[in-house]
Amino acid sequence: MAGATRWTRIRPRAASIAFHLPAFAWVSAGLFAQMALIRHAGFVIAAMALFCCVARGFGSVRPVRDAALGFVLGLAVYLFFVKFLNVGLPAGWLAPVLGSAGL
Amino acid sequence: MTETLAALASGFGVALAPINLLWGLIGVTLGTAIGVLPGVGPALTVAMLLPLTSKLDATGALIMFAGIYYGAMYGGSTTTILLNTPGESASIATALEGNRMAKRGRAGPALATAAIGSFVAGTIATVLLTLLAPVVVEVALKFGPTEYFALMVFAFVTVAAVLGASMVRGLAMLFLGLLFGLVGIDDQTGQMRFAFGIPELMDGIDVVVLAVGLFAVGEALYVAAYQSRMREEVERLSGSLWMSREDWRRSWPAWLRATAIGFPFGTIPAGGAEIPTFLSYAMEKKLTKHPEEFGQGAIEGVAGPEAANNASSTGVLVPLLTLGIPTSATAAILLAAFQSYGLQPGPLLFQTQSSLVWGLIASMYVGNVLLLILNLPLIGVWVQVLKIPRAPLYAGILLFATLGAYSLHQSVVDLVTLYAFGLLGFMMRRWGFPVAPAVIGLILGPLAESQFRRALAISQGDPSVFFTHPISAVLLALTALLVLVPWLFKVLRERRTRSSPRA
Repeated sequence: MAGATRWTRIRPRAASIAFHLPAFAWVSAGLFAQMALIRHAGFVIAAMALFCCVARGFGSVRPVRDAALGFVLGLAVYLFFVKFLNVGLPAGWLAPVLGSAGL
Repeated sequence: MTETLAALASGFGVALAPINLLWGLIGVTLGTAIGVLPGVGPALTVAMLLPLTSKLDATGALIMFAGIYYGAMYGGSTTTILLNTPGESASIATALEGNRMAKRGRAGPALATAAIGSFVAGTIATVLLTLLAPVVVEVALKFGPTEYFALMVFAFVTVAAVLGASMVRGLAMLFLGLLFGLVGIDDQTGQMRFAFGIPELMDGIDVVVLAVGLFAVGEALYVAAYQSRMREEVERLSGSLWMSREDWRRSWPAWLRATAIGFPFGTIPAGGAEIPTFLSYAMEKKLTKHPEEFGQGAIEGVAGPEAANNASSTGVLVPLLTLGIPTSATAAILLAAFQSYGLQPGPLLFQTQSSLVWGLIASMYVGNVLLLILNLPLIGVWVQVLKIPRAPLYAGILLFATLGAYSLHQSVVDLVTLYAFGLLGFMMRRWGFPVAPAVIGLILGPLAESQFRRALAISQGDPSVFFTHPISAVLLALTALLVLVPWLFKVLRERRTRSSPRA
């Protein structure tokens, strides 16, 4: 009997709240997409994919705005790291564009 | 005493240098922002910024990290008062009255008493830190490896077993953290431990990946799965920010009492500001001349807990700086920041790196003034920050989290490990396992191990030294009491209820 009470004690605290699988899956998908993309497509594209998926998981219904936000934020971080901190981040597909812009 | 003042004066010379002033300002601004934002805490922020330490000067970076640490306490109160869902556990007490005040259109005075109370408590606590630190250093210089090991065991057990809701969960997480701390090459023998032949594990598990995984990825997964469909209401900030004469009269005794409660709680290994905030709330409720207002928005109920919160977070820096013992997750990450510069907080740091330590302490006086300015006249800015929708907020948090992990070694392996720790963090949140013992175990564990081995080397392998050195024996006895006494009480109570006839 003691064992049974122990077990009930480590059951979820609030069992009434439902587990929302799609949201969990979208956030995970974003992180996996970034792992897959960062080497070849580059940091900025990977950041954009991550941003879109996570925002979708949190209920955003405006993928174009999210993509734009993710791109701008990713680019800003990329430039800050590469230009100011001299930390290399993969440029990937954007290498020609960034290269010709002198970045 | 005069020595302390001289050291502090030279510390101000360091803290007021323009570049360090700038780092301090960046730190407290960032601290306030992340305090306001739900889902980001100081432990996570400092962990995400740790990879930058290789690019920054030690004094500047540590002043910034400390600013993030105590700045987050100021920002947290804004969220607590204006949002109907309290964020961290340390602000639940404030939420009881603060949110009520905001609902009744008194958000301004509530925010003001929180900010001024934080300033008063933070400044008094910094004065106490200044006075107390040299005294503790004096004592700590007499400690050998045996005493340090006993002290670390004491800290482990109080943080893991005594504080959280469940001793079993706390200890489980502590040992998980200690196990993670063992992974990699052993410094003394060169043996590989728990690496399973994976080259990426040879250097050990990086604190950045563990902390960011548990805090950022775990939190994001949890909030997405359980709370992403929840509605939040931000209370409107209307009316005057000014406190009336009556508000002042009721606030200042609460600030002072709360500082007296909060600071000692911070200095002993009692991790987190949760207990002192509740003690302060209970005390104000008892002493008030307006008991009918409690539960309806009593200003003392905001002033006290907020001041206690700040005083205890400054108190935490006493054991961290003088003994090298972190008693909260954030303090453990700050210790990791010191380590990334090859510095070990403790009594020797006050001698070898005097200008850095005193510069850091002096920067806290400056930081508290900056925070008062940031949080009162500029409160409108932070209300706007609070209104950032969750979708882009969490997407942004994960972007920076993965950036921190990736920039360590430019390796996708770190991103995979990050996700694995994220899943672990998700499960820990879901089933109520505390995060702090795991983080403290990971960072303090290897230090405890090396003290343990050094003590045994000195005693030529005789383990009885831990029980024959008086300080060590007392600390270990206290530790045993802390674990056994609550358990004994429980057994006795269960026996009594079982033997008594059912009513």
